[in-house]
Amino acid sequence: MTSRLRLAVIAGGLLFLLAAPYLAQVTGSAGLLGLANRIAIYAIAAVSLDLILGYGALVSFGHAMFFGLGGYAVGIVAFHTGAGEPMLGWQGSNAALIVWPLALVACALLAAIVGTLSLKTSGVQFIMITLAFAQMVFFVLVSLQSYGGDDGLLLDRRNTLPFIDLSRPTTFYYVCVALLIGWTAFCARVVNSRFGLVLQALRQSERRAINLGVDPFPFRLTAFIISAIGTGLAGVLWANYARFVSPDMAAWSKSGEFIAIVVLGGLGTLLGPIAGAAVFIALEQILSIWTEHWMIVMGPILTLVALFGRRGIAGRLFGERNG
Amino acid sequence: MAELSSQQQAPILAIDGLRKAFGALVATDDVTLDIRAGELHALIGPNGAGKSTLITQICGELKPDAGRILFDGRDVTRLRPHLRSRLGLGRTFQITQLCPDFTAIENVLLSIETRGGGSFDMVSNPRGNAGAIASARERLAEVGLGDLADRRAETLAHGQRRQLEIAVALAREPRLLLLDEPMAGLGPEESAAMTRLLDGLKRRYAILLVEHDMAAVFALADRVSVLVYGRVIFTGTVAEVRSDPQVRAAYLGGEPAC
Repeated sequence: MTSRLRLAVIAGGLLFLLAAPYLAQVTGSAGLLGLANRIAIYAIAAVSLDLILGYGALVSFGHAMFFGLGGYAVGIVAFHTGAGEPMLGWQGSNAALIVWPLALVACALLAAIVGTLSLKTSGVQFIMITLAFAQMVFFVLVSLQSYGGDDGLLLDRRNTLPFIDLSRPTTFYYVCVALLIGWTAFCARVVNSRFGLVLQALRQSERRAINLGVDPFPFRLTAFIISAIGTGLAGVLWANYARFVSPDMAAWSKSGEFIAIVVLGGLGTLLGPIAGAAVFIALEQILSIWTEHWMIVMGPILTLVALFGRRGIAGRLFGERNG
Repeated sequence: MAELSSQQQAPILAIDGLRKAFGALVATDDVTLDIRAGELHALIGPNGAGKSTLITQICGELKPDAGRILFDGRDVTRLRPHLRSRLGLGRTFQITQLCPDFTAIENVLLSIETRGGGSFDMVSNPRGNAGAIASARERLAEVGLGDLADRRAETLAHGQRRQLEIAVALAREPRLLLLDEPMAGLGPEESAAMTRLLDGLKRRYAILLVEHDMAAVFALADRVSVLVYGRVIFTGTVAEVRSDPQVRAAYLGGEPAC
């Protein structure tokens, strides 16, 4: 019964994601495509965060730093390439196949450093240290006067892919959706793998795992880096979507938003956070038309979900356990 | 016959002059103890005697102030707990430590998977490993949980979780089993079943059994060590322990066995 419902919801969600451009055309509201695109990008970040938050119980309150870094990597390369100023002797490039992997490597390196230092702690200390690192990244971005400082950086155009025209909104949207599906499938594989078994065991009983021979640190660090790469990918896509990056991408409130989306969708469910992103972004859109203080409504909703929906949207739909 | 040959072998675990103090309280006071291959060695003592402190030092969660711990002839006194476990130290906990969201068989699979410390393989699903599954099912059947393989650990009864802990410890094919009060909280029937289970494990594994249930200890143990105020006041066979006046005064007579 629940597995049928589960399949139906997954199929429905997938159908909506795939049909969004068509719906936008039929209803004549171009905003719908943009909304769906933002949902797809945020969903990639949310799935990534769920990997460590839901399956590893690592409450990173600094994931926006990877979102910001991914975005700024794209923005900075585009800035130099556009202005014809080489950086470190490199002429720059506008090719997604060069710029995007570069951005993701930068995120992985940052995650390796932050993870190595912060995973020595746990619980509240871990939350505070990840927050502190994200704040450092935020202020570094603010202080980059040549890249716009506070005001951020405008991108002239999107990165380019061979055979695929990313400047067309519909095409770009489908690339985002494809990456979302691919990334979620990868994360699901990781969670159910031999690696994932140990990662999940560390969440449930660290003491048990250690006494079975597990050294927690390398497992958690690896998961942390994978999660950062996914969040960085979301940042890369956001920079291309909005053709604008600003320090706000790395603000602590953005980290909070990511956590809220994961909790809203359902911790440790992977698919839940996608639904969480859809509900969160859509509500934000609708409520902010009505009032700029849209958090006044969103806040109580999140509180209720945290209090009563033990596993968020996914928990309500699919029962207790998923994955 | 088996006993004779095992006596000649070097002990699996040798504890030598171990000491641990928390401020003025000496929880482990010059403890010297050994466990031979195939032996079931019981550790008894009143509450607060330092049994759990001793176990956590053997596993490496707590560092002793002085003394040595030799596992299979190797000095492991400074070795971190996960590395000791990989040498073949299997344990159960006084307060059950299982993965509550995992099914019974997933808990056993985890133990098989982590014999070498766990894998970074992110592709293959261990639940699809036929060999590991078969061996995990065997372990579950061995402890009497054959029918409950797919039940989540959280939903198992207390006694069943105790049995599952033993299956998890056995799945690593340990060289030494540390069982920390496996009868705690069990009813009389469950205790009897657990005693039968442990009796079946005897000889196949070297076992250190920490237990309050005297009936079980006297039925199972080859040798018994009595711990009082952090000191081992006596080590001997069941018959010797029963008749020793010092032990009777300090423990058996002084306090009702619970």
